Amino acid sequence: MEDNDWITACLRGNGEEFKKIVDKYKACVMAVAMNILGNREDAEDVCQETFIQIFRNLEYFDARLSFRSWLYAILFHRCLDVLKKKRRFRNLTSKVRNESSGRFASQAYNPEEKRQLSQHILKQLSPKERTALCLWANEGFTAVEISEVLRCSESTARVYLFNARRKIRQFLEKSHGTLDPH
Amino acid sequence: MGHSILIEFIYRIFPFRSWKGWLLRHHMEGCPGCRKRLVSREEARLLLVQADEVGDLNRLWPSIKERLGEKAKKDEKNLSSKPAMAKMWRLAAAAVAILLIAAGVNFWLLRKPRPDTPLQGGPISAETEQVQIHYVKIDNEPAQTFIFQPRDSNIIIVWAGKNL
Repeated sequence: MEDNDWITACLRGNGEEFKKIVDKYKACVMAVAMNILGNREDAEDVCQETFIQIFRNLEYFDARLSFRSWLYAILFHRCLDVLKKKRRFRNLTSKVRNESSGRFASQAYNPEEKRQLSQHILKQLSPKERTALCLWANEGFTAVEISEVLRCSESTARVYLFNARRKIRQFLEKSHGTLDPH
Repeated sequence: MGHSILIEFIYRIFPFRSWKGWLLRHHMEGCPGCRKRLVSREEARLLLVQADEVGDLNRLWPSIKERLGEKAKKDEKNLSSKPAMAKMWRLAAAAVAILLIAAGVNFWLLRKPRPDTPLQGGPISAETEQVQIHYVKIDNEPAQTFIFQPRDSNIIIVWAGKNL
């Protein structure tokens, strides 16, 4: 409910109230962005863009719906934009990389680091599966809430989440990996 | 184990997401055997970056505020230049309208008559200028001449009569 109060205050011209929204959600939004994108720099840019887009479109927010779902839906689409741009860039530079991959192959992967291992595992998932997994595990979202963020049906959201959970389990079984942090 | 493999086989053979969603909701999410084949929430959390692991985010709000301020200034600038722009557009539209009207009037005034237009009272065309009678004489005396063209016809009749 406090979200809606802050939004109402923002719409009445009290822009400083928006800081409260940013402060409340910034860490969670950043974590989700880092999990989807895999790096901090892009995640910071996406967070900024998301909050700016939220502020500019506050008047279109339907107060009957969940603000959290709306916020994460915007974040998810900003992340997809970044991933699409990166994919285009990767396609452009793939030739150069292929030519030089032999020289740098030994430096490309360091499985010792836990974060790198996590990133490697998460890369096995599609962006939608990563988002579904992250929202379910980190934020405690249900399939219905995930479907609101991904703008898909509840069944589809369940399938994304199931695929993500199964892929990770299969990957860990294949590589005999462990998720024990200690 | 065999049960979970069978369920997963059934899950895979039908490509419809609504069917898969139904199977997940009604069986797999509640079945301990099937759930063993999926990573748990706690295990997934170990893979994912958590909110308390993202580090320092103090720069976030100042940069958002700065960018929102820039946008507000830009909007203000656009708003102030709007009336001047509207006035310019109105003047341009009026000028175009005047030019169009002048071109229309000009076209109407200078248009050529159609070749089949009768000669009555209208301007003399190039074709009629070719027929010229300077002197029609009867008995070496200038005759009284009448030239006329029947309506809807190319025939030109010259009537000459003796002056009495």
